[in-house]
Amino acid sequence: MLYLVTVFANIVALLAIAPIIDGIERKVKAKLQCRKGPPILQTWYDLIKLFKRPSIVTEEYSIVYIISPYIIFANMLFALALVPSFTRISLSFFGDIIVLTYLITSSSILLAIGSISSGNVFAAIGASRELSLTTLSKLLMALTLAIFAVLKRSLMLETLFPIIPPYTLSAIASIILFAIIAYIESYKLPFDIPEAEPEIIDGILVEYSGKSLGILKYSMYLKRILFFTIIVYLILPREIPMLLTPVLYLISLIALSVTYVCIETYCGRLRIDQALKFTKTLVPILLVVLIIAYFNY
Amino acid sequence: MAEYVALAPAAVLILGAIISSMFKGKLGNYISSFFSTISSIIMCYLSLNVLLFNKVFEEKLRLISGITESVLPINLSVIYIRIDFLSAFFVFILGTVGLASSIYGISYINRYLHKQHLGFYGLNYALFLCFMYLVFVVHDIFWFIVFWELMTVTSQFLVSYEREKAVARKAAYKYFCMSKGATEVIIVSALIILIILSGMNTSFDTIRYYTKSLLVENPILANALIALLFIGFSVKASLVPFHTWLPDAHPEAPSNVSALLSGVMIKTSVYMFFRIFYFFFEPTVYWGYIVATIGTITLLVGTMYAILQNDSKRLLAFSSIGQMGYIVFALGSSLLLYSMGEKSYTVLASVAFAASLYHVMNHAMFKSLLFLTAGSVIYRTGLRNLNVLGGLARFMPFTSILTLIASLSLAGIPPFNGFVSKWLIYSSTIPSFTILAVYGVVALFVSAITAAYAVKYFTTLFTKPATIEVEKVKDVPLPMMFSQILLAALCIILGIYPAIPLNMISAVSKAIFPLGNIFSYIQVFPGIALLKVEFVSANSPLIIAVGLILISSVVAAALPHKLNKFSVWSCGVPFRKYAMNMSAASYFRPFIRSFDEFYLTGRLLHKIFVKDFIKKYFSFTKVLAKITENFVIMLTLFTLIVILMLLLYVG
Repeated sequence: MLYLVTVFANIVALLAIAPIIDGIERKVKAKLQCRKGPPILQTWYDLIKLFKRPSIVTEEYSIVYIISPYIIFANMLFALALVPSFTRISLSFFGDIIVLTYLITSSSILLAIGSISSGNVFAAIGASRELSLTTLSKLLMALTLAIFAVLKRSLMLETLFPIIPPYTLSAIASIILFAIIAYIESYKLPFDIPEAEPEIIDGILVEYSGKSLGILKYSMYLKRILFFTIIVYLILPREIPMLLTPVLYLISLIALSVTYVCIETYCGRLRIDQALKFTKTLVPILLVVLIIAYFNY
Repeated sequence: MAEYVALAPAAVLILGAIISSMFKGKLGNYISSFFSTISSIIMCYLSLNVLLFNKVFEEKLRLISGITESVLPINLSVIYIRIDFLSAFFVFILGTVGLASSIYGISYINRYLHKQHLGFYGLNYALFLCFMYLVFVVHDIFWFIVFWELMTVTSQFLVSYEREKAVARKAAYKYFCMSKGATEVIIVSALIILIILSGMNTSFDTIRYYTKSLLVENPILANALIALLFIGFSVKASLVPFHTWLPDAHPEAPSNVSALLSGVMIKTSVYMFFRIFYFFFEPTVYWGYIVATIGTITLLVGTMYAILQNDSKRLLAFSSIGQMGYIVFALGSSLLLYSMGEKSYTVLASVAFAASLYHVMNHAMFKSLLFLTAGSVIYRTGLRNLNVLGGLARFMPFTSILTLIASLSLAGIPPFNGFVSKWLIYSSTIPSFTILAVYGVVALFVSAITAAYAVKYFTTLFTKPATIEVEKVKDVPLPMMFSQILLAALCIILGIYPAIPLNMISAVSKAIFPLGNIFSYIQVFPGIALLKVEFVSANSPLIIAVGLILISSVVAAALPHKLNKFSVWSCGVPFRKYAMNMSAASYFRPFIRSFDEFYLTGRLLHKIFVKDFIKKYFSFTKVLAKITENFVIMLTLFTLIVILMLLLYVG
């Protein structure tokens, strides 16, 4: 029972800090662009405002359009239950990392179905891009997964973390590559193609409004946190005392998000074919790392 | 009467076929559907009896009484029928899919009224079901080939049922030629078995007695036999490079027959693969490699081409090839992992074995449901083109929700059945230290493409706005709706309670799998099945998932929710309903572009091995025809060659 309460408390804590992390990102971005920037809690204010507003639906909508944000949100919550966060306790079983990739993909798929169901052609274009990008990044995720499986001879997150006591080339490369994949998956600027604002007026999100939009945005923040968490725990050594873990976790989470936002500020958006080409160039690199890992280097 | 219970489904179907063929109109269809429904229910009853209560039904039907066994060299007068565990597993699938598609046919086939002879459909449909049943249960190689051929012929008639369409005729012809070629290979191998090995005894058990040790005694002959049988059956299983008939043939049949073709008929080969690799012969490492590699190629090719299709049923047909790839890949992995003989691989081998059979069942359920929903759209609109269809969700709300369930199962989204079996496939292959890890990665990648075309299928039919004006149609009539709901319910039940199918598979594994009961290696939870390795969580993973879904729905309910309708935002310009749209063809344009090399290679291989080959073959046959000019001479020559080869073998 305590176990379940801990997992639950972890999720609640992550729910609370996810928008704050986004607020920090916005602040840092503003400073880099020589602006004053919104307060750190601004993302929370935005979300609360969106939750208070009713949703507007299109005349062409179907029921999937309304439900899918909530299912995506539930998917993200389930995914967060699978990873350790403020404490190392999580819902772990053999192969949970495969379930994790499935939850991430299924949230993209449901988002695509939902946005196409709005009847807007911009949403459809966004969904098409989203699916193309998700499909390719799933190949990268699958390869990374295989590298982890070869390195640690396991498919369970609990035994995978941390990946680098053996300071081998492949272990370090796998962390770097995973960080790049996380960057692609979290729609940071060169890759925010599905929801390109100036180009296809927010793409997949164009017809979502009010509470649905709030839920979707919230799920995106959670997805970012999910990837950050995995990266942090791939590095965070196991020997750290239990009380220090949450502090270190939080610090490294903020450090990661600041690093990402610094990269984001200096990038322009890629075209979808350029993004796919970039993603494809990672495939041979990952294969090489997989082979290196197989021979224990 | 109780003695002949194993023959009851076949008898009922033959009776139905005979009666229904006498009526040209609706009655021909109704009678056939009625008898098929009854027979399907009996099949389910029989197979569940075998799988859950360990009964085995055996029957020896004597065709000609009076002829003793010594008169004929091969005893052909007895049909030996035996429903063992492996047969029962497949008969159960046939029973459920057959039930759904028979009931569906009651309304669906009436759309052919006044155009076609409905009694002809009734005759062929009942016979097709009957021969499929007999293929699964017959325990004798000679009668197996007979029923296999009859199954092919009846299904071919059903493929070309809309015979005024040239496409349908051509598809049926292609299908017939390819399966004919395959059957010759099977017959030759069967002849070798009969004449050389088992001394004219045709029962599976006798053959098994001789073949079990053959791989050690005479490896060349044994491997040649396996190769012949594998090639022969992989045509029906539509494994690459023998897959080209399927995307032409399956869409042309009436939709409920397509469901049977994709859901069950191509599984007859999988049934024989299990017989060959686990029942007749011992698993070997190199066959494991070959089967797993072919499976991986098949799943990649089938899925990559499915994403290109803009015809609802053709998309599903290519998807069937891809899913067959998954099944065969899992079978190959289990062969390889088992025969490598390492102790750490026993868990993975048995999980792969279970995953293969589990995916057979899941694919049967969701693919037949998808074909039925495609049929429902055809029934109401008469269209298959995904480019023009759309927006049907408001007119056919129930069908749209059932299609969504099937699409999500196909995509492998968690609570549905496709997820559990695919998950078992990945978790049994990726952690292994072999080439299977790479194949598993490919399979995981392909599952994302599968999800993408599942999205395409669902949204283009139901939620994307149409590009032509679709008239306001109603949802489908009750019988069609019933069978769709039945299959959708099974999709959910098999996903949430993996214990049900895994119990059946465990019965099969006790009978033929060398490692015994799979339950010693798998722990079943609602919604997921875990491998018994390392530390196993005591909490069911799904409990928490359900809890979280509940929480989020509470959140959704607690927040104010009011729906105001507004027209689609189109940057200030008035929204033009049929013009502002994205066609199905441009759904994955960027993705397809980025895999140009793959498709170019495919086209090149098609040109070399299919187009050029056929040209050369035809010119070759023309020359040959001129030389021989006489069919009889050809036949005698062929027979002489066969006899000579056999003599050489015996000698």
